[in-house]
Amino acid sequence: MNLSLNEVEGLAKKAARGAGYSWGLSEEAAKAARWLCSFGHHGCAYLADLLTQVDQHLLLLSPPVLDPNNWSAQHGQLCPITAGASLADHAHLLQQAQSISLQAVAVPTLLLPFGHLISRASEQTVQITWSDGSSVMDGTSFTLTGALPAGGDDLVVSKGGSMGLMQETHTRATPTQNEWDILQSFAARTYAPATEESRQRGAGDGSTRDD
Amino acid sequence: MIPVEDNITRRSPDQVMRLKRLGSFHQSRLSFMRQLTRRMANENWVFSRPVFNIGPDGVGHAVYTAQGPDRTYSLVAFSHDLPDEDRSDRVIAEAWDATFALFDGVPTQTDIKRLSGNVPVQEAGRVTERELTLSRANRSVRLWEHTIDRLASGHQPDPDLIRQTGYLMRTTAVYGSGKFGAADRETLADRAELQAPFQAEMLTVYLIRTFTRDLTNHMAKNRSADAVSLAPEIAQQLGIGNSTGLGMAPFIVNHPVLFNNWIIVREEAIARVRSVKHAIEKERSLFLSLIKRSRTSIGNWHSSHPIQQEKLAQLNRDVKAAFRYLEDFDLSAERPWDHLVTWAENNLGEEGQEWLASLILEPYGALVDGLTSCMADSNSDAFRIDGAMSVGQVRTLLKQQFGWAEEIDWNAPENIARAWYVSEEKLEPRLGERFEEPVAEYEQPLAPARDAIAALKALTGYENDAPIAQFLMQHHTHRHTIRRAQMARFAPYGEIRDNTISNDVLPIDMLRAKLSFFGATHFDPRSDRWVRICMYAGAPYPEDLNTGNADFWVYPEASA
Repeated sequence: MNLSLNEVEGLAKKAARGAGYSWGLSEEAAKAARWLCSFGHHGCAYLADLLTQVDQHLLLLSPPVLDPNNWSAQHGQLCPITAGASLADHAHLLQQAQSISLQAVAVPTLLLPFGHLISRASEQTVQITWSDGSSVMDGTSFTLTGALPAGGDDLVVSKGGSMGLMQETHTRATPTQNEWDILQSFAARTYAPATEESRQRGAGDGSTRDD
Repeated sequence: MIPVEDNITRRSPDQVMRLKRLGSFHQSRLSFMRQLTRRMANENWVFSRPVFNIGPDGVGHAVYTAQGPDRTYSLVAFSHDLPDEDRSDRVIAEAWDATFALFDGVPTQTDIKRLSGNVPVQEAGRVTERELTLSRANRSVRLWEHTIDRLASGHQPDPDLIRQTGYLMRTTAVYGSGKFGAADRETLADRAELQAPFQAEMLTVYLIRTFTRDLTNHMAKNRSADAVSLAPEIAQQLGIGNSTGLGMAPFIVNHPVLFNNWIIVREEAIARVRSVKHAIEKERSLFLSLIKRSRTSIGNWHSSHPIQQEKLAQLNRDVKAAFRYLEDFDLSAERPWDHLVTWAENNLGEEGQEWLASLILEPYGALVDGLTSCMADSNSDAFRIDGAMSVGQVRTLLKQQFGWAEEIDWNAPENIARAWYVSEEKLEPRLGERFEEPVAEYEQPLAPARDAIAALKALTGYENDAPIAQFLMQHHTHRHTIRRAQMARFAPYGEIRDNTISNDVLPIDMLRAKLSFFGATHFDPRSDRWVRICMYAGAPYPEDLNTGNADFWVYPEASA
């Protein structure tokens, strides 16, 4: 498929909401998916994977437990959206701490966009490292060394780091039909089934729509 | 000591952001249509019609190009033969009289072939990054057949019918910014000609109007060898109609920064003109000439909806009162525009106040037109929540925007009677009755006031100096509300200061606010939730567009 980034963001927001995220977190999920797509990464695939795990109760949306520079889930793995949004909200803590560790992050690539938000907020580069690789964000672009993180990886977030080869920007997203269908099916949960009454009244009983 | 300039300040958000006032807004020289026609005239845009392959039955396609200093855009128009029973303006329609795409550049045969498989089916098809907009239009049954019939028999259409309807075709959607695969606004916003909001959409409609005139003449000629063309003065009166439904109401709630930028620019423009110490003769006479022409336009504005009829009666009373006042009022006195606005606030309804507030801007292009570059939303950082902000500051921001809503009983059924939702059917935005239909669980976050009060309640017990990040970690359901509250720092006019889910909310007020910034005139609500308007009525056609007529076309020549 070949989609505009607004289509990705629009559907991703509805899909996250359909999977049970609050509206505010759904907006974060949508921006995260869009940001990954804007660098040619599979934002839709990661989000489809995450929402499926949430739907199957493999992942809880409860807030991370802070200890205080070592974040973990109450049960199982950390949700990258919930933890990522909290991490971005706590960007000021990174001023004092050397780093913050996130234990066992589900679909951890979805956490990278929050590093971008932190780098914009702090006007500094932000580095995220994991077992097989690392990434540095400067608020505009990001660099990637090694492989993308794998599900359940621990991530370490810290200020600083120098930019290497920048990721190329893309203006379109190219998810597979299957990934898109998964997002569509979650989004569909936010649509009210049409009834004859809602069809007539909901958009304004319209005399003379065709004169 | 240098005396501080005692400039008039902007009207307060508490005064401006009420639905009743927003629902009384009028177009102005800041409107998006007028920005476009001014630019095209100033830059000497060149227009052409390289393709017009339309058969005697009106079926076929045409291409219209608009060439600016740096780029060319092309309207690709498909004209169809639609049986009357299939004609509907609803989003749930599946066929139209004509369908369009605005193409980035000049399309090849291959592009047109690709578009011909997608544009006529609209939402069921796909466009690409080469397309900026996707849209469709239906004929006005009343005026279309009459006009072609008259032209075919060698006569012009009945002027009364032309005045009453105002358009031969009306668009029922103009999709832009990435919809159905089109180019994202973000990829185009750095082009000077597309920097202002909705310029691609406005160009689309401008070219659709030309296509509509040409198609009318073409069909009349095919009906009879004796046919005449539509007289230029009649064609110029005709605009393009537009049916706008509920979808626009969520738009202004969902884009608080963008909406703020439109409102604050207009408010700043009004404040600047009110601060003018002395109006020179040229400015006074331009104002007096345009207010007469505007009166003519208002005289041609009719509505069959009781709400608008009442508003029009008030507006007509206001217009009369304003002319009486101006008979004795000396515009060469000090601060004439401030006096006029103050007088209006004390003597006219919202319709009349907003009409005059828009009109006083007309003589002051040099003072206010530059502000239009601030109407777009380029602040992508507005999305980012500042988690270090104190709970106390968030409380203050919430109360600044929504203090008025603390008085409302948010448990009373009449105050939460409605719920905004999206239907499964073609994803049409709708407004339901919370206590009568099973829609509450599908509710969209379009009641910022209710949500703000809920957030304030949830904040109880949090220390004022605690960072809001702490609260957000425990209360993610309020995240969207905290984000909006923080936007208020630089978007003081971003929030509607009224209840958007009460039993008496009028969505048409939200539609009118948005459409007035497009530059629409003759608002004609057909229910409390959809409205017909007219766009480009009076505008010069591309071949006549010049710097002399690019601006004030919206005001018809005054009748005696």
